[in-house]
Amino acid sequence: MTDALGKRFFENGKRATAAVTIQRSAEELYAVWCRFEDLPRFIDDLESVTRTGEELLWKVKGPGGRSYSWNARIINDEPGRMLAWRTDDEGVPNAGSIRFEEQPFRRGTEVHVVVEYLPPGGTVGDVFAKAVGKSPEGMLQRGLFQFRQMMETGEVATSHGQPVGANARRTDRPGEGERATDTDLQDIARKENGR
Amino acid sequence: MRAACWQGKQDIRVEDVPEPQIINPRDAIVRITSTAICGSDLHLYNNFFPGMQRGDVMGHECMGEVVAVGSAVKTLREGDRVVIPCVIACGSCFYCKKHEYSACDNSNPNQVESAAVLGYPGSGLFGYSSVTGSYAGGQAEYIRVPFADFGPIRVPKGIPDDRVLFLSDILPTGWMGAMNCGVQPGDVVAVWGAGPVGQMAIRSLLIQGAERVIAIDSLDDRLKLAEQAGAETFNLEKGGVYEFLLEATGGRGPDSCLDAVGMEAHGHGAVSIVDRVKQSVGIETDRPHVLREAIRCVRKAGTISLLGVYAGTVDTIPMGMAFNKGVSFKMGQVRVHALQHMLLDMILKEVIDPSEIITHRLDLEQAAEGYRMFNEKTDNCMKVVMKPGLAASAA
Repeated sequence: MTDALGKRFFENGKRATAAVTIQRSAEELYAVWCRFEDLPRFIDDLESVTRTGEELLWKVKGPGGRSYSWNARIINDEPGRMLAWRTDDEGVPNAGSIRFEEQPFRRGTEVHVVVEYLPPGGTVGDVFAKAVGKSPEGMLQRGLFQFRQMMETGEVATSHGQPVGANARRTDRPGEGERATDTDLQDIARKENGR
Repeated sequence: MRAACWQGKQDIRVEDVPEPQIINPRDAIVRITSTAICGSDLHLYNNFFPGMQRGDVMGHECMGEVVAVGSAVKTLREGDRVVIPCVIACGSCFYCKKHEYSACDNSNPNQVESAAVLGYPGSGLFGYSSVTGSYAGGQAEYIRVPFADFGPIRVPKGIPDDRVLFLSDILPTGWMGAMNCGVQPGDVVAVWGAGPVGQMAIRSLLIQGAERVIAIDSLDDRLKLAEQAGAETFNLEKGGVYEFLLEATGGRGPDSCLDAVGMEAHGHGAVSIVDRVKQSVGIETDRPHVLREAIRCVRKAGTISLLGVYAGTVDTIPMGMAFNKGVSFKMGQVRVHALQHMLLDMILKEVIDPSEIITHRLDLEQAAEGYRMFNEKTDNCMKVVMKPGLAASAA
């Protein structure tokens, strides 16, 4: 199986992959993903994404409350099918792609993400690895699950901020009030559900 | 507000916790009027299920009155009386569209963690550990209900809580277990476990047309209740379940065997002792005594319906016998949303009255006592229903 990244970008680069199937058309999913600035609204691990032309500034929430950022540029854009980007910055070498593959007989659209990065320990470029912690696959998968929740239900499932009793390890803050959710995205999610 | 919190193995404490708030647009807040202790709560109580954290609010079988709804909830309004399904389902994913609500793709916020523990990303449940989403449960004065525009079922005013409460879990669970037997005219079905779920399954099997239902348990009061519902009974303390069932079915074995006991089965004999040792040291998580016995007893090409609950791995399952007999296995968490409307209708038409099994009505403040009684089965405890403020209203 090929992926949107195709070739390897870095000598000794590591690859992390994740996939999910979403009950929406490839066109819809591609269209929402292209609004990079909106991704942090439903992907918790993203702090912000800023797009300027073909340039993307990614800011990711890393372990321990630190944030990590890097510049990338879009290197491949096939509407309704895939997007790919890579860094030119020597300090944070990584490349990523997302591919949308609609399945027959209303089985939804497969969404595959591939990220290539340099593992920690090298002389340069362990920022990405630090940002994703011990499990890049876990972070990508969590992001894709949240993408699916947003696209299929109009909101991101959460139990943060719920009541807990004494000795709780969680540090949830109760009473934050209803989370603002993107109404456009809710409309997309509701469209096929007839709600 | 007050809530029953998990503080460790066999340690439930009613504590002051913050009241829940609307977090997502599809949420509702429900003021609890009745909340039950479920057999599957005992798996948490005895620490047989992974992912519980101190302070977690217990409970997944509850009902009450809607007091607030999120901006996207158009199907419920304040004052509605609702029963809340124990499983949380979004209503719009691949599985929900196929009515496989307990396999919902979107209701568990901790899917990555869930996959690491269970081996697949499970769906959300109320009050059932981080593995199913860390949702605060319903043994409390209030509960936050996600996807409230899809799950809760409205019940008419006037009908007592006790008669509709079990639409949340054990009634649809028992009904689904019975359906999974695929009852044909003339069928004989053996049910292991005459506890709350077994009782619901027995009644469901008879409604679904089973010719005979044989209830197997070690507690006489539970067998008596099964008998009142129309079942034949066998006390397994007598030993010889296999011999009894073969004799009772003219040497065929039951057409279907239904396991309403699961991972904490009390078996007899050497293998059972090995199970207990393995479970206590963590090599084996579940004690599958009933499953083994069901494979042995069921007729050739029969069906085994598992309601469990099973949570982990089991050893020494006679797969060769199951294969060569051509046994079908059906199992899984209850698809509450698919069954609750039909079952509510049957309750209203008095075809079934689930409240028959309630033995204890307690105040929420007595949760620790309720758990202890239900776990140790003292005072013939079959089913505990708790009501916040019961003691005050009775005084």
